[in-house]
Amino acid sequence: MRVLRYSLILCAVLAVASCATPEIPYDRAAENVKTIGIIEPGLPDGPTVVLASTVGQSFGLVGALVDAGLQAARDSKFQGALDDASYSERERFVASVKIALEMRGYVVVPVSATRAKATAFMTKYPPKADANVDGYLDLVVGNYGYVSAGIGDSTPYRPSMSVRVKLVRADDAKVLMEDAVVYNPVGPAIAGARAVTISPNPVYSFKDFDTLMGDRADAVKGLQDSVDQTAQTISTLLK
Amino acid sequence: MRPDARLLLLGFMAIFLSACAKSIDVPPTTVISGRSCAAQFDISSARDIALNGKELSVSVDANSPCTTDQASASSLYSSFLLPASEREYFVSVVSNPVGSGLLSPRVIMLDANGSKLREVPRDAFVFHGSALYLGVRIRTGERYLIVASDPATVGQEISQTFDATQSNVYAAGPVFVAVHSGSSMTKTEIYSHTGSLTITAQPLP
Repeated sequence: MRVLRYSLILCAVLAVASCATPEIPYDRAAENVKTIGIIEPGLPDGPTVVLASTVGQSFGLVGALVDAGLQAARDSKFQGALDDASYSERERFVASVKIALEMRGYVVVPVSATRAKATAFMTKYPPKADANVDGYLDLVVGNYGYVSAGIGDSTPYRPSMSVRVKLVRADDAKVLMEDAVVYNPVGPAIAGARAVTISPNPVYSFKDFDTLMGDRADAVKGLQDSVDQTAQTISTLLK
Repeated sequence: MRPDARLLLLGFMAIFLSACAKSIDVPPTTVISGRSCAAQFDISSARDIALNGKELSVSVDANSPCTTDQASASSLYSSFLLPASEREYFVSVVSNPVGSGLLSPRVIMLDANGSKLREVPRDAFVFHGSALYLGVRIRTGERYLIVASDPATVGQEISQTFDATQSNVYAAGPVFVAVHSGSSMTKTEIYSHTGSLTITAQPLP
């Protein structure tokens, strides 16, 4: 299970940025969407602190199991740091997207809806009459946390986040916009992939995990910055 | 020497020499000088875009047509004839880096007479890695798409950090071992009037 989760974490970023996600552009003037309902986003269980290339990767299943154990330990410690700081990625993300869209002139309301899977878009959207909005913004966070490309000072841990986003018309669930946004894409398959990418803020980099955990305040700020930049980029797609 | 051994040797030499070759940096164009630019876009040499999802690669260079606006700001541009279609479709516009330069684009939509219908500004573009990308839905009546350099942003620098992973295979006696490592690179580009575009038209899914 640990090996599977570790693999899925790495695949999350690659999958979001892969050609599997269509990019459907939005035409704001052609659609009469003034009020957007943000459906509660799908999020993974917790943050991930990924070391993208390791020695263990050269040693088959045994190496993968060791890596998975180290990964789980990092994730758990980092989650503890976020809990101590009372930080909620969900709350920050929704608030940030709301602000970014309101600055673009939209009226934004939160919408409660049951999501069948935290890793997938909604299969059915609430009836328009229930929420009184023109469109629903559906957000699925693939991963959030930190990632390092490899061992060494030249590849520090930087914030990481990937999101799939879809705007649908409330009347008939027609897809008005769909895309993927990846903050700090790391990996071999990102170049040329169909995803909007955001270069990581150089202010938030930590040479190793101990340094990341030693500066928890900045570690949280780095996450917040990745959320805010992702939210701004989503609003650009709906400009 | 046997012919296949000679071929192998030539192959290795080619790889070795290409690895040693220095890449030539094409400097960005931040000033349009010595040109007399028209006020209107010239659509007579617009390139056809097919509605089939195939990429059309175009270079915008110092010899590309230029236009000057009312504020006397000049742009280089490339024009495209949009396909006529009953089906809704969109066009992807990608500005690819060339050397240290990146064409800073904006998009202008014209009708069949060449009159301006709307402009999609530079800040609507987003990054796909080191390239700038825009997806734009085509509206009824839009017949030409112009990709022009944006004088307001040309000359500005943009720095981006790219972290990546790679695998190298090494022989260790009778076995091969894959060694995985990471790398980080900061790339600085200068917004330019010239560059490389990739244009694609495809139906909306």
